[in-house]
Amino acid sequence: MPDDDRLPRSLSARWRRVLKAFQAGEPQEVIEHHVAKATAETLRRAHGVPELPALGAQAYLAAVADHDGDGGSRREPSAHIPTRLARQAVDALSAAMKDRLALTSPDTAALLLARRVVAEVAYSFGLDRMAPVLMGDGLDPVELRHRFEGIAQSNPLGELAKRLLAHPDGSGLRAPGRRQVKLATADLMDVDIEEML
Amino acid sequence: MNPAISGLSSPAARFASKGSAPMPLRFGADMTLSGHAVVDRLSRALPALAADLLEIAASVHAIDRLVPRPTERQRPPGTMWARSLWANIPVREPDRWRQQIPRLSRLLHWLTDDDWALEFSQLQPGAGALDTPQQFLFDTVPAGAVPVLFSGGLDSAAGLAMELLHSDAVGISVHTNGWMWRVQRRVVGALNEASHHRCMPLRYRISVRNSTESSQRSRGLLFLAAGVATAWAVHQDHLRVFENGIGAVNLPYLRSQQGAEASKAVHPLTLRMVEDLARAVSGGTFVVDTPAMALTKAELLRRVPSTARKALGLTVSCDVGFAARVPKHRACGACTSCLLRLQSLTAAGLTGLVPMDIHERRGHDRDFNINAMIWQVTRLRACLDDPEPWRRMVSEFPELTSVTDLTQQEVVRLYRAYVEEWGSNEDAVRLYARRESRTVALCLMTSKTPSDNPRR
Repeated sequence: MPDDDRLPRSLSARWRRVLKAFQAGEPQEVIEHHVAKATAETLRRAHGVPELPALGAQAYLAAVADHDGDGGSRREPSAHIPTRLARQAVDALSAAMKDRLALTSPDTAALLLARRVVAEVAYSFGLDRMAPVLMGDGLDPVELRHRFEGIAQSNPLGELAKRLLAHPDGSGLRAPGRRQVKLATADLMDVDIEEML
Repeated sequence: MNPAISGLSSPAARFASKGSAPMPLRFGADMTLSGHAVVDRLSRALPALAADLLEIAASVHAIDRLVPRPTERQRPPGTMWARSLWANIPVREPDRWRQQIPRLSRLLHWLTDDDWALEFSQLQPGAGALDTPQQFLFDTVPAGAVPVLFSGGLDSAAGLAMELLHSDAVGISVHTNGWMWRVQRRVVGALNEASHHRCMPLRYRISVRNSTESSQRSRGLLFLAAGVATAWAVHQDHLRVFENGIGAVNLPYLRSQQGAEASKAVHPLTLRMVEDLARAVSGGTFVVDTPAMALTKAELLRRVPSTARKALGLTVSCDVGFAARVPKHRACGACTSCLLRLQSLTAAGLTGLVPMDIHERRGHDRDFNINAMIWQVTRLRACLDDPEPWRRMVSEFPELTSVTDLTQQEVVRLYRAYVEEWGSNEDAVRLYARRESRTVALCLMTSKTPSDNPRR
């Protein structure tokens, strides 16, 4: 029964920046960049997911052997939220995508898991906390869900997942820089100032 | 004289949280657990094992309420609200309970997210809160009466009403204040008036002094322990728990909810773990029966005989509806329990039972909870529209991997029905959640039947 359910809704300064970007109607690409930065900071402060490589290997082996593995992900759930999310992701991938995981390599399975973990961290610490607020601002939940999905699958979060795999304890983890397109002066002459703002 | 009833304190359990010195926990002083209403009504003392189970659950509940959880700001970044707790609880049969420590700790960890280190010591004969010196000669329980857990909420009242169509029942309840007991008594009275069969209400009272933690995630164990203990006392090996599947599974509304932040009081896994504990400690069979697990709340309500509607209207669902601080004990209309009640009554076409006089919770953002619920429904709908709904659902809601009581098809059907119910009534529920729009919402609801709205 939903008996005094607690719905965490507080946002760190970086995640509040994401909320403001949504509220200000900033382009999706800009928001993706803000989300990657906020997620990187969340993972860095929480010391990453140290057992991520091991969990990736476990998910792959379980898929190849067509069994549930050694039950590693079903140990007592961790009190460390990113680790908990990673273990849940292994269970979810095993239940929903076992056949597809078996067709990959261990490295690809680990990356798949890392991408999922990064997305779950973004949802858990930021996006899902702001969804009810944005709906209160008038955003349609279906459209919002599509936008969140786009963010979860975006390049900045994908790049962040690769970096997390390289530094699973989160040390020095940074979001990829935003690529600015440089225009030649001659090209700039033909662009409206309003378009550049 | 029973110490809990006499006001004297009984031999203390002890408890500590990580980094703090052990503290005594005395029945009769720090907390009260009274089963005399049950004993008087049954004319039968509780068996030792039953009394142990209930006193363990009551002690755990008291500790749960006395040790504050760290706030999000107080704990290290990225960690949950979990605590590390130690307890030594005197029981009548410590050797039996020591063997069950791993089971009990796992159950408590699942329910509360906390790490529990439990110890059991020998309780002096006759010194327990539930011990009674009386000897009884007569058995007052009707033969064949089914033990049913009864909280005073909508689901358990609906279930009891259905049960009373076929047989007598023993309605087992736990109350923490007089108001809660009065509600439970009125509902049972109304159900008895509407039925040929009888429900014998059996109640336990518990209160904890100077409690500082409001989350009370061990409350589910307390209720279930009362049910199991009473079933044992009336020589039954089963307990019936009525809770709809949506409420029982209680998927997180937001992915920011971790573990027991979405409560698991009657989650299917909780019920199986309690059943397993009851079997293991007694060495006999025990079944916790959940007839409504595959139904939505609205589907459950539709099965209730119309003669029992008056009783349904007397029930309380609100998270704070039983709290002493709430003026006139009105429902808040904004917590997820109130909203699920409203959604189900609307979907079942029982809008006449929707309360209009509600309590405004100070500083409460009325829109947040309803938006969180609709956000969850939006995500569920996307999963159900997928060609492989189960795969998609378990990927989106990994918590579903712990629902073992239902088949994949039953889970998909359950959530499809729930989402369709919302599709018909989303506007009405949303409007109702806003205080200033309540009259409009009631008009909207009463002018609509569940099949009127084709929206999904």
